[in-house]
Amino acid sequence: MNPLIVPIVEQINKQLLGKEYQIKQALCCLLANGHLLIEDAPGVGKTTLSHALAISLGLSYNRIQFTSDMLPADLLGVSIFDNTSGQFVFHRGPIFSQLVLADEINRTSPKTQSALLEAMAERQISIDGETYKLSDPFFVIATQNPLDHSGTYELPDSQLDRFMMRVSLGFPSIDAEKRMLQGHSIGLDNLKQVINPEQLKELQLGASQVTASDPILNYLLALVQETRVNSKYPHPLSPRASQAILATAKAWAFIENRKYVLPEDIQAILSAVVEHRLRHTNQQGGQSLGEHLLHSVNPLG
Amino acid sequence: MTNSWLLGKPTIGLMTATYLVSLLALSHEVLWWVAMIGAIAIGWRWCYSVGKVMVFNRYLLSLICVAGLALLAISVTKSGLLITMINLLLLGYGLKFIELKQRRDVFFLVLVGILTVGVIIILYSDVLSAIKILPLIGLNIAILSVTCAPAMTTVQAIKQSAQLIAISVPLTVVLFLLMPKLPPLWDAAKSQQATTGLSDELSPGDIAELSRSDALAFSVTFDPGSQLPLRKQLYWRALVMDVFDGQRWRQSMDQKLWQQLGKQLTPMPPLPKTGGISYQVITQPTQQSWMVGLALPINDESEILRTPDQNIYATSAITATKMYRVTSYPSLMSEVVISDHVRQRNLTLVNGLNQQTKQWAIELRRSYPSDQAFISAVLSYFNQQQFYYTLSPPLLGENSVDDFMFGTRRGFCAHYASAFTVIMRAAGIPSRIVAGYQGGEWNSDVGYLNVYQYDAHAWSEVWLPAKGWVRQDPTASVSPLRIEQGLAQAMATENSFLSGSILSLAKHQNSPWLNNLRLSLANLNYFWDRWLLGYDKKLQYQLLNNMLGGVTTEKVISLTISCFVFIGLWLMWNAGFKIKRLSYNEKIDSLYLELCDELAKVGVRREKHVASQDYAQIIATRLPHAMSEVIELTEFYNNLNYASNLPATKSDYRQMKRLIKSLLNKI
Repeated sequence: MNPLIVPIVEQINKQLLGKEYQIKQALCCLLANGHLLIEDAPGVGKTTLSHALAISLGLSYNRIQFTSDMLPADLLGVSIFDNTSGQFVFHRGPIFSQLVLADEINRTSPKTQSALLEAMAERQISIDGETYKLSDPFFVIATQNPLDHSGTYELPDSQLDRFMMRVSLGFPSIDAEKRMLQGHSIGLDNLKQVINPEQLKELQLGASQVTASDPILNYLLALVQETRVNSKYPHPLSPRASQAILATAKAWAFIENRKYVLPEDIQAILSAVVEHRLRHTNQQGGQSLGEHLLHSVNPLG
Repeated sequence: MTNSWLLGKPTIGLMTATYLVSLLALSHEVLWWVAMIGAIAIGWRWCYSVGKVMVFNRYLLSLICVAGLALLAISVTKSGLLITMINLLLLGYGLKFIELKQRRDVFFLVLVGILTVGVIIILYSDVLSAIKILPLIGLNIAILSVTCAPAMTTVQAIKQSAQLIAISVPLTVVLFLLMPKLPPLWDAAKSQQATTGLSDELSPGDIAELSRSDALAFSVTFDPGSQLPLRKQLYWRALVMDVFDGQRWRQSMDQKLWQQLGKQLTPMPPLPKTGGISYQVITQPTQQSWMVGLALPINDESEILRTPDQNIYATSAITATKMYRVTSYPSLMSEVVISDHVRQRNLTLVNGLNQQTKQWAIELRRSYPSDQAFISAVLSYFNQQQFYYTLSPPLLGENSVDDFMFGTRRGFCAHYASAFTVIMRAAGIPSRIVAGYQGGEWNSDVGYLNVYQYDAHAWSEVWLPAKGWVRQDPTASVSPLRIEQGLAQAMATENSFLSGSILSLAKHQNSPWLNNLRLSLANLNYFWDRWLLGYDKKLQYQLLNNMLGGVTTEKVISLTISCFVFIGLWLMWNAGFKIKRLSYNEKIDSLYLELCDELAKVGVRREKHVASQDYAQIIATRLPHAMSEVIELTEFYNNLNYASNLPATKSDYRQMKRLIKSLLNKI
């Protein structure tokens, strides 16, 4: 593993026991400069992971708990009339920070979801004819409960596409859970900043400089093409999806301390990148569409 | 209708145009009601495409089909099998417009269209038909383009098909020049339709009928060494008729029997050393076997026979434009001897008919005992009495010669020849009628003679002791212009030349530019016949001989095979097939995949999706003793494949081979 990444992963791993793979995936997404969606049942550590990432990367962060009565203004900010100056003054909302933790994004109304997702895509917001640039780097780590829970608003396809990756944490192993109960995990207060935003920028640059050779691109295209020609996939992957696969595969290779991408790198992130784009979650036979895709394309030759 | 591509007006427009051009090209063959049904089908298709009518009733369609077949069955007897089959094709072609439901139907329509083109080629081989064929093929290809690429506009589709045709031109030329000319696998059915031309029988009206046609009969090129005969010597003999029943002249039973049974070779007379006229004849299809030639034609080709009555005869009917060489020896005519039997036949007249003429001849003969003097007297009688040369003579009665000689005195060549021959026979001089062509139009620019149907002529031959068969043309006495300048000049005053055909260019020989146009077209036709249709086995043999320097079976076979190979490669190349040398990267990939197969044999299978790195781990766990080799190999492979963007080299390939070998040795 890349020595620059090791301390980050180690620290988060101390708090979120036994989830190294997911931690690396999440980091990978941030290194590829993409937004992350964490989806799982309540209580498995979604919020913990996002907090830990924010603190470890030394980003200024705001946490927003999405509720059904939330309005876009609660997120973006609002203009208030200032009596002393006699003018409207814009009060910045929680979105103006380097990392936004959008908790339970599917609890709020589509209107508010849209406001957030627009900001994610454009990295700026427009209010009352004024355009405000969001901070740089700007990440959104959103969490959501599985959709079959009542009182939620499903994110539409186009907005899911804005998230580069969707990571599921899953239940911890018995060992890990036991250690957690034994009090081996460290608390949120004990987390330290490992790198600063400038270092993060360098890491991002390093990730983007990883090379992808022709056979790798061919493999990637074969994967994408498979979803387009096979009627098994109701939602074929878009070119934006193939860009996302390449960027995250490079970031993964960077985390693995390699200067080039291997087919294994693509395979490592494929499920996280494509699953929410292919949409179909519950497959017969227990194999998700992403896994099925991975198993149906030969990376060699 | 869900198949919106079929609704496209441009497509239907193209199809309609194709059908109409096909009909036009076959306009002589197509029955009027077949064209009507086609028009109804197309009309329905147009109305349907704009949504004016409902789907065509299936039962009605079947009814039309059955009715059409019944009508065709009736017309078989009248128009012959070939024409009926062509009409069947056109009927199906027209009705297919109703049945355009799927893309397959369009393909079928195009196929029928191409078949129609084939029919046109079988029936006609002249330049004009060839010119009609090109747009037909182009239109058919354009239909395919529009159907398969609906985004294409009609203009684009037509352009594309023109390009395709242009591309195929060199291929066509090579195939035409070099492919062996195979004999036809089956005979084209003989068209029963009357083609204009001479027939086996001659009644006075026949030639007048022929003189209405400006169709080309044949073209002649004289060999450079031969002396060009004078126009008035150009008597192209085709048929000899020596049996007269009072109305019609026909060939003798001997000749018919010779044609049907024997066809044994007429003995070749000893050829004189000089005086031969050599020439090449390109004859248009006549559907008959007789061939034309100047007096006493000699030909030594096996498929051309010499008849007992000094003509030439093809072993099979001339159904396509044919080229043959002839040498004529006018002097040989005098050496022909006739048997008593033949002599008797050429003196026979029907008893009780034309008594007045017979009497007149016998009386005249008394004053001119010499044969030559008698002939001259008869000819001058024709010349001096009030005989008129006309193409529209009055009808004659049972005693046709009597009526003509002493009644109407108006007629054309057949009348005069018939009367003259009867007079000769009555006076005891053996004589017969020869049908053929006289004169022709000499084209000095290119150097060929075109003989048209309106040059058809009939004259007499009398047999004189020591002189043999001597040609006598009473028409020349009546209307010298006809012989010296042709029918057009002879009929100038009567204005009856080609009176039936208003559009005929031959009619306007006095208008300079129309005449030039006509002559240019004639030249074009001549070259077409001479070089395209005349390109036969013999010419091909000569060409091959020149190309290969001596024709042997091996050479021809290898040339043919190389032609095929060349064409095949060319087609493959055009279809986007290119031979690609494997790069070393690809070779290394296949080496790796072979290794995977080898390892699968020892139980370490690679699942389809497993890439090299993961596979290396699987191998390492299953075969721990080979771990270092596996890691080395995988690292090398990954480096080559994924790390560097440089193409692999030969040494990389060798290294890979070496690594695989050492790994395989280990396990």
